[in-house]
Amino acid sequence: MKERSNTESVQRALLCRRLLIIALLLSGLIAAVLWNLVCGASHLPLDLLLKALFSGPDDHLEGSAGVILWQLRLPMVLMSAVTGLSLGLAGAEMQTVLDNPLASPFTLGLSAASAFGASLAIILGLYIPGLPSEWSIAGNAFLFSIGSAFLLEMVVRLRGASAETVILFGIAMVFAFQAMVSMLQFVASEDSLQDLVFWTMGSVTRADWTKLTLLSSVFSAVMIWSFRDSLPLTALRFGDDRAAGLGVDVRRVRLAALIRISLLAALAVAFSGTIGFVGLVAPHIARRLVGEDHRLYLPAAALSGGIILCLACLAARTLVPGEVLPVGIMTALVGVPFFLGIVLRREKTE
Amino acid sequence: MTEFQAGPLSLSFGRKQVLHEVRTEVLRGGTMTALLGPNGSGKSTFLRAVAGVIRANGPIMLDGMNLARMSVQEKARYCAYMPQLLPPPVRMSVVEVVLLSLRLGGNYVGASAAMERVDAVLASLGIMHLADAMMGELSGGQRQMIGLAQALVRSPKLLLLDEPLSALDPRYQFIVMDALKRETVLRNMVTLVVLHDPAVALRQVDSAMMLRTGRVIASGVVEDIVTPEIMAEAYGVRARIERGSDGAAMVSVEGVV
Repeated sequence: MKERSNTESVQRALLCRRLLIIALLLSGLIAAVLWNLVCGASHLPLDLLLKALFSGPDDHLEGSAGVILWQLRLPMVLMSAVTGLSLGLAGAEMQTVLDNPLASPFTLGLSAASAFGASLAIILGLYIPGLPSEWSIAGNAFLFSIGSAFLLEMVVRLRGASAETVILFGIAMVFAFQAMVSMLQFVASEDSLQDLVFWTMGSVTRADWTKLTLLSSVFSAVMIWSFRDSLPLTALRFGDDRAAGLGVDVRRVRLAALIRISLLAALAVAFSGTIGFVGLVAPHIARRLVGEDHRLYLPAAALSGGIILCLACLAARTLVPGEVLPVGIMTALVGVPFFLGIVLRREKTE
Repeated sequence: MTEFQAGPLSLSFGRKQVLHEVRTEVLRGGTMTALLGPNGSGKSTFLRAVAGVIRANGPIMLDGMNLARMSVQEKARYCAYMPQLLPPPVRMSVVEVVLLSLRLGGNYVGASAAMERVDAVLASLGIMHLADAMMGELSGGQRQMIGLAQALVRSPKLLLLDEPLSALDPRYQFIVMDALKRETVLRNMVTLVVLHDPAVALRQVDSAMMLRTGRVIASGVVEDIVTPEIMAEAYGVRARIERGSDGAAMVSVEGVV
């Protein structure tokens, strides 16, 4: 009996430590957002910032501080936070359901497909009457991203493809969709070209409250939905057969996850363009911090993604004074060495 | 008394029929049955069909219930399946991994009772000392034992194992087989195990089924199945069955037919 209570307390201590890590990640994200709000072309001191923040968007007593905060900085910074959260969560689920540590919406072509879908909507002017144009662009991005997600899943399932084959297939999709986006850019009018170049770079500077509301509501819904599936997702880490033996409806769980991943990837791309490597790196950090029980792993991966993108956004705005670099360039600079690291480590273990 | 009978099960992949009305005898609780046969004989496929990982046509009867008609979740309450691949070195602790199995089972009983069951199963398999280890720190044999704990913690009536010894060294082969025999009797389970090696079957199980090209060519008490004649028919080998000094049977293969 002594051994028993010992194990139980060890487990409880482990759980407490991991919950603490998640709490720290959450505070880290809030701190990163505040840091972003303070820094910028015109410095906002923290006390002024907080005053403007708590007096609400309609109160312009603070002069320019209120305008800078509510019109410019806050939507952009929150957009990078929610985009990061979405990409982190999408990457985490994708690495689980494809059983591949190199999977992410960016590396396997979902982002490129979404960018093509979004570009197509802009070029052809595919707008649903009565709805904001963001909706049609996002909707079209979703159609293409879910199409490529199912194509990937089919390759995994029907061909019994190895991790390497899946990655190569994903890279082929990235090339194909990028070529098609370039083609659209070539034939596009001067006006829409401006819009298109933006997708390929990845930037949060076009954030506004409508987009932010849409992305946050979808992210929240998807987070709750995936949290409900967190036990079966954890079981998938033990392989399809073992998961099925444990009573998991593998096909249903995988299908639901692919829909969620496509939703997140499509919206993130539709509003901020292709931002690479956040979805790849965040899950690896989360696994190291809290393990692979998906009830903890999924929130941790999302939060890590949010922090990464907020910090990248800060770097993009402050590295070159007076210029805002596309944040996608920042994440790529950090993400590529990380990607290589995973590839080389896999080679070593094989 | 638990009673189990699967089949006749038939299954085709495309045009190729891989199972031809394969049927087990009526198997009773507390007994172990080996599925034997050469590579590609359909023994793993049959086990997967019984587990419900793939769908086959035919009844799978356990104590009057037809498992074939149940959903995956419902079935997992009565039947546990261990695939051939070892549990991977996931970043989770052993207790977490075993608890996961209970949580997914649908009959989760609350944290403290669940911990009790996890402890009991780890203790009965003699791996209590691994409880707080991470999966990544364990050897293949130890991970196989964790997989077994994952299956047993649900107290299944039917235990299905696909080549549980294939990745293990002799020491863990013995430990796993010994644990299986003991738990089968203790828990009154029907245990169905795919074995690569007929010699192991002869020494360790009660009854056996010999398959070849998707058909049962013999089934019954293991001594009647692992014989020179049936070995020749199934595997195409000349084999002798001998008794060692301790009376245990041994199979020696002397050539091909």
